[in-house]
Amino acid sequence: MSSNVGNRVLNMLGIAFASALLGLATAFVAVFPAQAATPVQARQAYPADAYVVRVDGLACPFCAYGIEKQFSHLPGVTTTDVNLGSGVVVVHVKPGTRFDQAQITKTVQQAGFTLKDIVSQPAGGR
Amino acid sequence: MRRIVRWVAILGAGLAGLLVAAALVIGFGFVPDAKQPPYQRVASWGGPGTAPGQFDGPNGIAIADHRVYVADSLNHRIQIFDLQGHFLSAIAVGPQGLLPQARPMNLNIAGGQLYVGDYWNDAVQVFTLDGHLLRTLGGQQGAAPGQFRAPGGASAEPDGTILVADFYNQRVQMLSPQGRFIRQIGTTGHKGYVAGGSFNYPMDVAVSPSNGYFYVADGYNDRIQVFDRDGRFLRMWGGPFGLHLPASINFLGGLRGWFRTPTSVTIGPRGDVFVADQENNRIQKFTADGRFLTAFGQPPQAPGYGVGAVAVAADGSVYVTDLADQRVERWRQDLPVHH
Repeated sequence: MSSNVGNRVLNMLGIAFASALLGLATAFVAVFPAQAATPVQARQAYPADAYVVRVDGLACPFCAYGIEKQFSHLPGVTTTDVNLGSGVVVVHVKPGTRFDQAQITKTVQQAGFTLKDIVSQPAGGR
Repeated sequence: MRRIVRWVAILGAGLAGLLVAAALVIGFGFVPDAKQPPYQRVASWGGPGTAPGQFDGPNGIAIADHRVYVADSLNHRIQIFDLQGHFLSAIAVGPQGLLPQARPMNLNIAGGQLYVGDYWNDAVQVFTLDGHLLRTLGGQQGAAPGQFRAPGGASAEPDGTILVADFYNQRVQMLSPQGRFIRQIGTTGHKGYVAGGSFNYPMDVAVSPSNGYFYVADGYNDRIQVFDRDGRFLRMWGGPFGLHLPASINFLGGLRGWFRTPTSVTIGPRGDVFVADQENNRIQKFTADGRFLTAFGQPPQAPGYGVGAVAVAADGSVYVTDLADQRVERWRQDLPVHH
C-alpha cells in the first residue's frame, strides 16, 4: 500500500518535471530559434555531372570556402557549390572523373569536417 | 512501473541539473547587463551582384581616411567607398593588385596600410590606402614558419610587426614587416579548446594602436583572446571564463557577452572592442579589458547568417557587412542628449 502511494507520488513528480522540461525546451526554441532550427534538407534533382555530399558542421563562409578550396585540389573538379543551410556540397566534375568514398571522406576531413553521406554521384557511378 | 519511475527520476535529475547550471551562470554574473544604449541602423548600401557597389560575400571591412574598404570575396576584389557608401574604386586581381582567384577575408588597417588575408592563395597582402600593392607574404599553402593555410585576417603592431590569424594552422603568427618569422601563438595544426593561447580556427586579429595589445577572434572557441605586443596571453572572454563549450551544448551562446562564432574583431576610436558575432546576427561591444557594453543587430532579410565583419569610423559610426543580404550597414549609437 505504502509503496503504491510512493510510486504515485513519484509519478506525479515525474510528470511535473517532464512538463517543466517540455516548457523549457519550448522556451529555448522561442528564445534561440537559430540554434534550435533544423537544417532544411534539400530535396531536389541533383546535377548529373556532380558528386553531391552532405557534411556535418558547416556553419560560416570560412567553412564553405575551406571545403570548396579543398575539393578544388582534386583533379577533375570544375566548381564546388556549398549550401550552408542544408550542409549540402555539390562538387561538379569533368566527364569521366571518378572518386571513391575514401577520397571524398579524406577531402572533407582535410577541410575540417565530417562526411555524413554521399547523396548523389555522376552517372556511371564510382 | 519501475522503469517509468526510473525515467522520471532521470528526467528530474536532468531538469535539476539544468536549473543549477542556469543559477550558477546567472549567479556568477556571466550574463552582464548593457552599460550603454544600443545602436540603430541609419543607412545601408549594396545588394547581390558583380557591378561596382554590389557584393558577393562581403567578408571583411576596414575604415580609414573617410574611406570604407570592403572585401568582396567571391568577386575577387576589394571595393572602396566613401563614408556614405558612394563607390570610389576597387582593388582587383592584377599585377599590382590581388592575386588570381583572390578570396579576401577580414581587412585591417594599421600604420596607414591595408592588411588583407587572402584565404584562397594562403597569402597576406599589404596595400597602401590608395590600393597600391606594397608586398605579398606567403602564397603557398603550408605549415612551416612564415607559411599560411587560409589566413582569415592580418594586422600590424605599431612597430610594424605583422600578425596573422592562420586559420587552418590553428595559430597566430608574428612576422617582421618583411615576412620573417618571429614567433607563433598556438600549436600548428592542433586545436586547443581551454587554455589561453590555444585556438580553434582563429579568424581575425585586431591591434590596439595605444598599447599594441592584440585581440584574436577565436572563431569556433566562441571567444576573444587578448595578448600583449610580445604575444603573452593576457585574458579571454566569451561565456564562463572564456572556456570553450562544445557547439552542441553552447545553447547559451546567445546570451549577452557570449558568442556563437566571432568572425571579425576591431578596435574603436576610444579603444573599445567590437566583435562580429556571426551566428547570433549581432555586433557586441566591450571595453578594452572585455567588460560587456552593449549589443545590436538585426536578422537579415535573406536566409542565412547576416553579420560578417565590423569596422568603426573616427566619429564612432559602426559599419557592418551583411553576408545574407550582400550589403554594408551603418549603425549609430543612441546617446542621451545632455542640456
